[in-house]
Amino acid sequence: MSYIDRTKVAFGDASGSTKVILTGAVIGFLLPAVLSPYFAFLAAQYYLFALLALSLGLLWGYVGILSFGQAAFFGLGAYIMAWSFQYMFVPGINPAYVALVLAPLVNGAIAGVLGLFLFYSDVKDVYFVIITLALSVILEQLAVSVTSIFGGFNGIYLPRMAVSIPGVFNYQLSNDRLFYYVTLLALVGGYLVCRRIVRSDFGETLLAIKENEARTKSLGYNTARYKTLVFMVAGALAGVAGALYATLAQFVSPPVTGFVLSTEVVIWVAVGGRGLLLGAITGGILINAASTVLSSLVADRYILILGLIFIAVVVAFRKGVVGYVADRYDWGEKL
Amino acid sequence: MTALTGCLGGGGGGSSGPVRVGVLSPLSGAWTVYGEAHRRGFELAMQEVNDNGGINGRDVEVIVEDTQTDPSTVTEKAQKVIRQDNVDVVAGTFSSASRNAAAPVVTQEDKVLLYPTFYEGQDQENFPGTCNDLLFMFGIVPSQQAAPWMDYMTSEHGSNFYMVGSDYVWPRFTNQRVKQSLEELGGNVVGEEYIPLGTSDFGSVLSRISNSDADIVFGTLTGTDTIAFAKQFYSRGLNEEFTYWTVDDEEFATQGKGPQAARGTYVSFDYFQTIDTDLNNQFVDKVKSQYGEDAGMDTVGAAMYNAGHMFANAANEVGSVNTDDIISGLEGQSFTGPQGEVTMREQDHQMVLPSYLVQVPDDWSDTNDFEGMFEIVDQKESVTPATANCDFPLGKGN
Amino acid sequence: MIDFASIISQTLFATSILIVAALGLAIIFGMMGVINLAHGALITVGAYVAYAVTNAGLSIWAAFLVAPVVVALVGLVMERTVINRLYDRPVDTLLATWGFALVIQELIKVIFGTSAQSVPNPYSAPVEIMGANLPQYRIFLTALAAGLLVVTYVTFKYTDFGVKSRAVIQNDEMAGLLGTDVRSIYMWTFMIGAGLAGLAGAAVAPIVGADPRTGLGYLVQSFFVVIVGGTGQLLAGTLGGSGLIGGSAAALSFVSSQTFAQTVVFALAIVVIRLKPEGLFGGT
Repeated sequence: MSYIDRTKVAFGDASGSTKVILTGAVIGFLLPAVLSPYFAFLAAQYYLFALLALSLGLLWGYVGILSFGQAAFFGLGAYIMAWSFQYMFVPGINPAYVALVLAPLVNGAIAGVLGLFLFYSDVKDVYFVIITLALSVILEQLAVSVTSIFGGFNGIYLPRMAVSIPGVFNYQLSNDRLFYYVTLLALVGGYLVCRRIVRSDFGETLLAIKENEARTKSLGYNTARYKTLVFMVAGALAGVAGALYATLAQFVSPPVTGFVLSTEVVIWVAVGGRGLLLGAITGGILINAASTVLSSLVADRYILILGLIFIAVVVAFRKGVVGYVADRYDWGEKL
Repeated sequence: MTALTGCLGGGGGGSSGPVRVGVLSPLSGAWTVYGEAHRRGFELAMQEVNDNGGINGRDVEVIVEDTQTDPSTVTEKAQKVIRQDNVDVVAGTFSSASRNAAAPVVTQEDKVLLYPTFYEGQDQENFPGTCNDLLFMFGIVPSQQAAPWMDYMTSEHGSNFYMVGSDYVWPRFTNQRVKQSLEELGGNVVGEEYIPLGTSDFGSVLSRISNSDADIVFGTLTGTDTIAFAKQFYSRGLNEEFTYWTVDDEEFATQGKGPQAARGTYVSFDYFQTIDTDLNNQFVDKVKSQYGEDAGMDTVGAAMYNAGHMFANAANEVGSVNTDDIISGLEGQSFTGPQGEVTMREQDHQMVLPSYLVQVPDDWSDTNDFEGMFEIVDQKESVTPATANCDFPLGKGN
Repeated sequence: MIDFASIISQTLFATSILIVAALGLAIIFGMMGVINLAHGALITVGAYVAYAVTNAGLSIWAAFLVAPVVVALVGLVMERTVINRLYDRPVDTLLATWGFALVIQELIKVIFGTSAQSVPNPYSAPVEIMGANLPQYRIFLTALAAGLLVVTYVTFKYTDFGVKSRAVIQNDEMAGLLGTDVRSIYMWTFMIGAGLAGLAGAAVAPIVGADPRTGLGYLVQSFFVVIVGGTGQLLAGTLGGSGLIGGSAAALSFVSSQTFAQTVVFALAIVVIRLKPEGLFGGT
């Protein structure tokens, strides 16, 4: 097939979903015009949670690794941003920029070490869940008890970040609508990165690993290396999300790393659609938005409703919201 | 959410429609124990204000949000009541950590925060959580809560202190100040430990206390932890050997401890339900008729009650609920409430309050008996707090 | 001055609490292979049953009988409605049980409110042993742990049900061919595991109270006990795992804070799992 024909076919495959994605992005860019600053502030948080969910979506949907510890990376990213403002690691440079570079690097490195430690052994996949769960518990406990570094239960306060070009301008993003765009860009950027990975040859191998790791291994692929690399990317993404979250909320405290958030991420992705990147993003935005709305109506009972929905999804509606829509409209699986 | 009166019409912030107050209370989580009284004190005051014609002719609408335990939830709820519900003033938060979390939000949005809880005192380094022109502190500080009783406790029981507290700002700063008072009297701190919130097993701490030569165990543990600690303290026989003095365990925490674990414990606060004055008896009766015979009150509830009335009086005096007007109205205000006459000091926004040292008597057995729960050992009608460690005049940080 | 008596007694107490807490999971996860993330929630239900029973005026001993029955019934509901469809889908089992954990926790909040409740302690006064004042109740718990281990071991090794249960778990196809009612055995085994979790909740309630999050603290620890001890090894695994996890946490907490000690122990547990994935006593 010629290159043009191949492009046409590919475009034809994706056009339904691409239309939806583009529409969603356009709505996203236009929303601040109609949202009050407070709701822009809330939406910005949702986008960052969606980015966190995306990190799990990549890991779980395309490699089959269920991590109950993505919040640990998110939280670590948040603390790195807080420390950057506190300690000015590189004087003269915007601390937020420093953190936005450090967070993915540090998280990626830690994920790499963990991956090397865990994937290159016979640790069963399901044990990985318990281990990652323990990791978020560990980090939360450290954050609570090592007060000199983490600020403990009191947390650490930090200002809203500024965008700057040294010597030219320095503009603090106190305006929530402006920060909304920062988070939207981060989400879109993260999605595009993941989509690129998923649609590449590397991504093909990942799917093969997810389907049957033993067979893929026997074909000569170093599956542990692939898993570790994706784990690093996921950790980095979650770290960026966390770093931005810290400067959005202007406050970091132990729950941002912990057990509860970790398990919530799994619910977002499962309900949104665990096999698809868009599923993870949708789950992240949808459930958090719904929680805010429902908690005003039925106080904390919404967690009960969420739990029941989650069980139903797990037992019967395994593909999640986006999964079913994608099936219905035949959008394929590289979403 | 609770709205005391539904007035049709827009949110507060304007000069018509109801005056809106956001109440941030710990209704679930580690501090639920204090949450009900906290909320009720304020709601009761606002009800009385409404019965008396409201504020400048407008009814008061109370919006209650549950701040749970974590400071991050406090930040969220503070944002919500101010930016979504458009309240005119914010009342509450319970722990110092929560107050410190709400402070940047109220500072950014320029709203007054009425803070009711006993706390560690003010230090400029903790701005905006303290030393903030927008914050009014209705609770008691160590110079009123512990300092007046150091003499008595050290001469009766000994001057070696083992300090055990939860790990956050209130116990740490409180202990700093108490240490000072103690050392002035020639006493010693033989142990000082901070335990992360949510700990359920105090075995190692208790062993260390047991092996020390402390006379008094000075407690700044809080929430469910202080209850668990007291029970384990008792189950190891330590309350035979040591005197336990806590500046946290008011009526509800003590109720949680139960008679065996609480027996003999010393507590000191500015208010106890058991205080037998006409003013307090009237107040307690009102609480019971409103919330039921088993309803209880504590220092935080009384402080919220004071805060509510003093806010309303200030607003009525200056004729508006604008932030700067409320600030000038509250400074220097006096109010006669369950504790008698109390005054909000102009310079540092702290209250002149009474102080009571009480002990849980051996014959207290009914956990619903809030009056028999404490026996007054000594009292001071009015204790002026030490001047806050702030830069004056108080600013808003800009 | 190192207080050996304290360290030893603390270690013993911590180990026994973990044995009691983890035994139910040792059966459901260790033996059946069901990753029951609702284990903590089941413990919490046990604690609340203890609260409800004692609040109604009955003794704590009545609670010890009622709690396992109630929680076994909860387990029954879980197993019949959801779990039995998912025995060949371990990840979905994990997720479904987590969903149950959330639902159970929220239902508890709806029924009992969100604040912690006190449960009376029948042995609250201290007892003097060899010059040291020890909490009586903890001594009772140690005895309970030992007793439960013995009873569970005997049940699964020597009784008819126990033998069938092990057969089914080892090879359910074969067992089925030999005439055993496989579904029924799975159901009963799951219920026993749940019941033990309920008993654990009632057992710890007098010292930690009943709080919606009571069980959560024991969840991760229980999993580590079973994994580190060795799945499939009921007696040695539970005992060894509890000793290692609970004991070392207790011992470490003498030189650092309790939370930090637990952190170190979890990290060590992860290392053990990595180096010996079948657990210390595992490997069949």
